[in-house]
Amino acid sequence: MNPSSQWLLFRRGRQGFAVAADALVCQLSAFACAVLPDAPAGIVGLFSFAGEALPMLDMAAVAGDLAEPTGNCLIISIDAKRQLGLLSDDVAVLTNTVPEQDAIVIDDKHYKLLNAPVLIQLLAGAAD
Amino acid sequence: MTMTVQVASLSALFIEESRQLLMQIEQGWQQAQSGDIQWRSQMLRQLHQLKGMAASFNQSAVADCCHQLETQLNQQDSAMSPEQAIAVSQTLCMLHDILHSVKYVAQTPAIETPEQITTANEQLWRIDFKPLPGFFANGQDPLHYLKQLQQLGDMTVLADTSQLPVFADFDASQPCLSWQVTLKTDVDEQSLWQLFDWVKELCQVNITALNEIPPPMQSPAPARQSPLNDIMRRHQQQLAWLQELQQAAQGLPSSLQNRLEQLQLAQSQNYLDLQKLMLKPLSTAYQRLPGLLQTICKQTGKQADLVLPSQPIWLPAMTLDLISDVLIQLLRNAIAHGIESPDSRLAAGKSPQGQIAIEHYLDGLQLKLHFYDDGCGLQSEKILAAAGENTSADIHELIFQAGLSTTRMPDLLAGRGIGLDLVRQHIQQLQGHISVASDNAGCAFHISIPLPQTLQVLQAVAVADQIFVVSPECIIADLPASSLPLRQVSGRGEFVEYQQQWWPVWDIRQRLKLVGPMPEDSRLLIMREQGRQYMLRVDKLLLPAEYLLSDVQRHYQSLPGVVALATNGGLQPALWLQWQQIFGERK
Repeated sequence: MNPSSQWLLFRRGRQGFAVAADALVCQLSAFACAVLPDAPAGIVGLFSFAGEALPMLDMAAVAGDLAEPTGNCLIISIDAKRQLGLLSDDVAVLTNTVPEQDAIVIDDKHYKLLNAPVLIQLLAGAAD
Repeated sequence: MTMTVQVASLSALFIEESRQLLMQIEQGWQQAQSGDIQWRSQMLRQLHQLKGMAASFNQSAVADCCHQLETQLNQQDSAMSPEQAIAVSQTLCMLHDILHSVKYVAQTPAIETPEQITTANEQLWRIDFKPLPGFFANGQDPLHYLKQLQQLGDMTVLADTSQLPVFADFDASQPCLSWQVTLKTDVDEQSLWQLFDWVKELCQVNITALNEIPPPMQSPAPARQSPLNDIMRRHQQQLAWLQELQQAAQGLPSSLQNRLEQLQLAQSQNYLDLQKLMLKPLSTAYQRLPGLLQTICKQTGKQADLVLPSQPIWLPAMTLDLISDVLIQLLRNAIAHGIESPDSRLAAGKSPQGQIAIEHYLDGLQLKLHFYDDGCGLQSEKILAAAGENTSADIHELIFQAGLSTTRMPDLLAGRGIGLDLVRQHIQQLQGHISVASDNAGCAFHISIPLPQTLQVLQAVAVADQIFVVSPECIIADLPASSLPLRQVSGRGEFVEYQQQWWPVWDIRQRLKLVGPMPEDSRLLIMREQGRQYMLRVDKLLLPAEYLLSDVQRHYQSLPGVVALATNGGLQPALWLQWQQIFGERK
């Protein structure tokens, strides 16, 4: 089985997103962030997970959308060393659907792929 | 009794570390024989490290053997003859035997490392794992069990996706995947079943032993990951559930809410206790030093006292191992090159007994270590002579150069020019910095090492729904804000008059754009940091507590003014900020 052929789908604000299933570390139904001074749009803050300080990314804020506060988040491994949190409106579901370019399309709904390069770029962009 | 146990555990630690180091030396030797030209300096460093460790545990046979090997390797400028290569191999075998006998004689309880276990009783297992309806409803996660299995050895997993429905029919609460796991491990069948104890009613599990595997001769199995990481992840999940329960319990009897609060506090304490299992006290690195000093002084006829710090500092085990080795090398270096003989010291107007002192403290997540001796200091002429006439390098740099030594005849203590090179390598590996200062009154090594994590007692303050931590030593006074007249100065914020001085008031709520009304009984903290005093306005002071501090750069990036993220095991983390930078930057 090729692990990257499975994707986790979740929604945040008006958009849907997909992350590789094998990148998922954990789903949390409650968390709390420490607010960073002068944080860029998209960075909700830092939270503590298993003794590590991880950034929490809100994809809705990255897109400039106003979204309802949520208690759900996904903890994702970007690479062997780094992890981050992604706010999620719902519990992620698993799919085997093959992506079309940079998104997975199911029932005309688009789920934008968030793979490691995209997440790294988002973190760096959000940090600018 | 305590001392015996301590010596025994240290002895076991030495044997284990030596064995691992010897394995690395042997691997280097194998690479050397296959033509790798970097092998010699690497092997020499590792041998020197082993020699230092052996000397600190009074294992002269091991130290002698390393010394002989160093001499043998140093004499070879070009490729070795087959006879010489055989001699090196035989000496390495001899070192193995000596370490074995040391272990036997020590008769300490054996530390069973993963590789010892795996090479002894490895077995191949097939585990079929299928969650049943109700598995998810009970809060279970199949990934957790697969990860638990993964930690037991080499594992391959095959997922059966044949029961996966089309997306429209997908029900996230119903399991539709099953897994076939092939696991190579030393763990017995009963222990494998125990992993599924909590979910035996919620899943189908079959465990079958496959063929026996002969123990591998040389390459050890990869080291297992600490199960503590998984426990900490589960802790996080439990905290989230507790938070949900607390919210749901609002309006229910206060006794129930109190119990939930107690549960949360107990969880937080467990978390910090777990962290203490993953971190080690820096004092562990000092335990070997008095014995080593005594041994070296006996060998050299020199006399010296050693003053060690007592303030507890916690740091990751890997960092501790390297620091421990750095200190051993610095101590050996201080006696070999710094501290003079009693007669020379008396002639120089010093006491016959040399003084060596180590100081340490934490500056945020930076560990600062200072190593002092009151010996003769760096001998510029000797160092420059050893470096050769054409060098223009600073002697403070030259002393760390590989192969440079002012000792003419190498002995067990010094002369290879490896000790300080090894020190610098270790510090570089820790992404730290070392510098040296010297005069004829002695020598001082200043080391700074960034720690990924540590534990510290800090003062917490609350502002809106956020918590911040500050160093308790920085707080000079805590005053009720209502007791002092605050004045608005146009464009410059609030000021307050206190002890006949006008102080700017730094308002965290305003600066960080935090939402929520300021309480009437808010506090003003007079702070002193880096020689500057200022006032911070906070909602309230919480009790000082022990916090786990984590580096924010590891997963994100370096943030100006952010020292660390702190957690006491609860859900809400706290930031440690450099307020002068946070407020100063805005100005």
